[in-house]
Amino acid sequence: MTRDDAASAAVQWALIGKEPHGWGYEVLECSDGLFQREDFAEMNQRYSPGTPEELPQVTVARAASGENAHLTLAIEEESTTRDAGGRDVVVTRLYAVPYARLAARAVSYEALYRACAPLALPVPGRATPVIGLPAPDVSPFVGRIDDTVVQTAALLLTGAPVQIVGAGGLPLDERLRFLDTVAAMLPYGIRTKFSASTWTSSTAQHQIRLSFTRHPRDSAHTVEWGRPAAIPQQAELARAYRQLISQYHDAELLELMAAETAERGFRPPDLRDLLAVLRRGKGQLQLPAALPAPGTSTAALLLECADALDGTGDLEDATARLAQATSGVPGDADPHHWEIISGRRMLAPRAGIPAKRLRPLYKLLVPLACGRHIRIGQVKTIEAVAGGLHQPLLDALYELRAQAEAEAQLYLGQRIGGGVLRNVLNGLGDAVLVEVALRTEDWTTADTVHQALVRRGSSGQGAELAGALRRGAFLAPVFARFLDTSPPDQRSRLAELLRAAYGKGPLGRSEAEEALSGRPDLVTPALLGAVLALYDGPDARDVLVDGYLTPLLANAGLGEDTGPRILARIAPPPPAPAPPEPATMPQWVPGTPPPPVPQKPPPRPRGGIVSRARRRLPGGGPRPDEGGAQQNGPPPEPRFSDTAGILILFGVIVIVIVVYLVLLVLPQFASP
Amino acid sequence: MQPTGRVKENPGMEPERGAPPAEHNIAMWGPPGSGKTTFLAALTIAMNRRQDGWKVVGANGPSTDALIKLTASLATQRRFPAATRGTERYRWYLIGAARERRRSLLRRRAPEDVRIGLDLLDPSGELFNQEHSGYAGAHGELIDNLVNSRGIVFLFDPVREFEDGDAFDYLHGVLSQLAHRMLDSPEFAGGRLPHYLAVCVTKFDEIRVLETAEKLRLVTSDVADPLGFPKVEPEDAQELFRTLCEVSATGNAEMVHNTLAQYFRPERVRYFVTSAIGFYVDPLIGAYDRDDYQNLLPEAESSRAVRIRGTVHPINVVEPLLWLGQSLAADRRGRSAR
Repeated sequence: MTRDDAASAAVQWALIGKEPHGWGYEVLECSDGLFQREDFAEMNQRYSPGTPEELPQVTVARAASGENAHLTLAIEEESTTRDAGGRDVVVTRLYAVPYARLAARAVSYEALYRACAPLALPVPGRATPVIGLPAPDVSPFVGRIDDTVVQTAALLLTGAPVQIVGAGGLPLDERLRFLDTVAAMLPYGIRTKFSASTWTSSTAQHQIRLSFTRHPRDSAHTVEWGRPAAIPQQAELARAYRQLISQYHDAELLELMAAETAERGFRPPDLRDLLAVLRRGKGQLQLPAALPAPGTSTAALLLECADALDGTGDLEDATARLAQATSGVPGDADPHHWEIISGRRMLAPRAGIPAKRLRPLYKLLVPLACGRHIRIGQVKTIEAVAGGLHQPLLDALYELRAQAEAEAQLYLGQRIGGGVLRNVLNGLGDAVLVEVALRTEDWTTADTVHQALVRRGSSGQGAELAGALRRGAFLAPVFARFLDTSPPDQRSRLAELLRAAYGKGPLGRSEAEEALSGRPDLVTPALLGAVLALYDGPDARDVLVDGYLTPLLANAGLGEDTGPRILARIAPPPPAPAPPEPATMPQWVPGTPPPPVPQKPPPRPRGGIVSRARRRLPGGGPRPDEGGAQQNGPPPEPRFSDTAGILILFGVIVIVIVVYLVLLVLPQFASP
Repeated sequence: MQPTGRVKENPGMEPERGAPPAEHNIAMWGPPGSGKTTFLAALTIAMNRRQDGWKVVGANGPSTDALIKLTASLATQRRFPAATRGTERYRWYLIGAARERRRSLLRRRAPEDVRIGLDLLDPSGELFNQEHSGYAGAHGELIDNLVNSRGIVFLFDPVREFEDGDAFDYLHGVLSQLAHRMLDSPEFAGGRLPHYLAVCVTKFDEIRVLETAEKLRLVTSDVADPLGFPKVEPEDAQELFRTLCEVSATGNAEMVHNTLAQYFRPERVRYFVTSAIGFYVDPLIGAYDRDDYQNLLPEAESSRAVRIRGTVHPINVVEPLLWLGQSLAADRRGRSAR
């Protein structure tokens, strides 16, 4: 499907479950898009409804913010997979659809469910399928608004979660429809901070704002199905909302709410704004005096803020007016705005002004200076102009990180340090980190990425990590650039990344070739050295030819005639027939069923774990996936051809490389 | 001496409707599939088999519901309970036989229940490994919960450790963060955590665990036990744990033992050799048969699913929780007296 107009949206997806006979839940597969594996894992954890009792269940939530805001839909279902303990595995299909596309047509949760549910996962090639979006239509909701819906919507405005009890027999469709109708009673933009589930476990510590459940908890408002009760006296905003919506016809209210697509949440300012919208809808709203007059330019408001920073004027008021004028939506950067911001030193520290007054202003100034995307160069320019990233400025930049490119996020994380850097790193996928390291001009950033990737490798995230590192030649050009005076240091860092990708122990033949062939044009002598130092097979020369030289020459653009001829000269001989597989003893895997036991169990292995371990693991054996020479048969016979010149040239290249590597590696072994 | 049925506020915990908060916060700790939920599911059955008056009762509607379901999965359906998603919290009471209270001058006073309140946290195992848990917020909540708890049931699955060897991965990170969070607490005396720790070596019913214990000559039997189950005396449990740690697939389990010793006060650590399902008991024999004791079978020859073969006879399931509850109660009484 290639539809990509206003009536369609691309869907990112993840399939979450357990590998057959695996231990823990994990992202099994996911689409290749904005969200990476760890992003989907986070979405799944953050809005987990707890251990399910009955399936299927549906949970709607949100992910990311600003331009990247998405609404998510998770469908939990039964599967035929059993885990290592023989337990049934629940599979979650998680879909993420751009909020802007959904908001433009006020797409309901039910419509989203109907569009996503037929999409079978995984989609081949990690592609992002496109779904059709229905035209805006509030009419299906009109007949569904009753007292239970109104009370539930009003209670949500208290900011506390709401739980619906006593609806155990209600089918999934009906429960989803109810959640959808409640959401339709609120501004559409509130969905960027909303979550709801057709069922949550009553004993779960979950973060879902609205859900059906079996037992009430005191930490949430309870609505008994079909028996709406009063809204608490102290919930003034909720009561005011209920009073205001009583003045609207259902369709009128639903259309007004569907049109309110600006992102908003459940904080008091958001809710006061909602009341203002409702009053305005009925012509009751008086604009406060502080609002800027129509036509007041952003530049003029910036100057007001600059004056206020300098002590002439009310900073809070000026900031509010600027916020009103920019609507909090970043646009293109305007050089004139930047002139004012930098010329009036608006980002410089102000000792006499509390951080809580400065931070909101900075959050407006930075997008005006940088535009929609905050790039690393802009952050450094801001740092220079401001005379350093002082705390309120740093906080504001960090709060705007959703608009910042990955390297800028990392830079801010490093400056703040501690858990913030960890959070930033957790939010960036392997491929993104590799990309950042390859581009950065800052060694600290490159080093941070290197350390993070090594850590990820040690925690067993090898497969995806290996792919990302391979495509970036294991950061070899980065180390060559920053550590050019220390080839041994380059080599040891590359060895760390190779171990992160392929695990401890020596590299197998296929791993060694793979490591070199991802981007042969970026391979450095240090990477060649690191790979060959970790590869202990006898055919290192073949690894160099097949993994490095062949792809290097193939992509070198040597000409349509010459290229294939040269490649043919160095092509490997046809493979020898594979030796028969050695007979192996079947082995019992814990957590999977033991061998079938009839009335009496089969003869058991004697000696327990200790003696078996000593028998099996006398001192560590070779990795099972390693082949080396045995796997690939004897080393091929050298071949001669009558094109002696090319052969001599090739021989010289190999000799030069080998001599260089020997010189590179030898001091390591020679040193005590 | 048993604690009484006093209940009190539980700062940082959400109170539940219909029941006062439980008294002692106890967290289950272990990787995915280590048997945390199964351990809790076996509690009612274990209490019932003891026949010494102890029972487990839910402190509120949701927790009672969960107790019934968990028990039914093991006892009736003979299946392991579903893997936990997110974090589940159960509030249960361990209630002992009523005991007579001293008569007052004017009237005889009603017998007093012996009651231990448990606020049990059952997180999904993935959360103990931040690299796998995905959402840093969920991981942070786990640390918050552990900071608030004072008792930990640490499940060590020797079979999994032998094959996968990842127990250390699910211990070290969270423990370091817990210690970091408690650095400023006066309870973090001598660089050790204030928690009581019940280290439970699980799957004693599994052939390789039992035979390892036999090989170490740690297995005894209790003449008073009508089923004649083999057992490892409490004072030998640590030795079995240490030995099983030495055969980890990655060699890291030795660090599990050392890490626990580094972070917890020795007088607050106790070791138990446990099994949630126990050994198979042939109904015709009515006792342990050394040649036929496996209680876990495949559902069918070609199936990977397993079923529990016979009746469930949990081993050392009540004891860790009772010890934790009693230790925490004594600790609290000691603090009140000061």
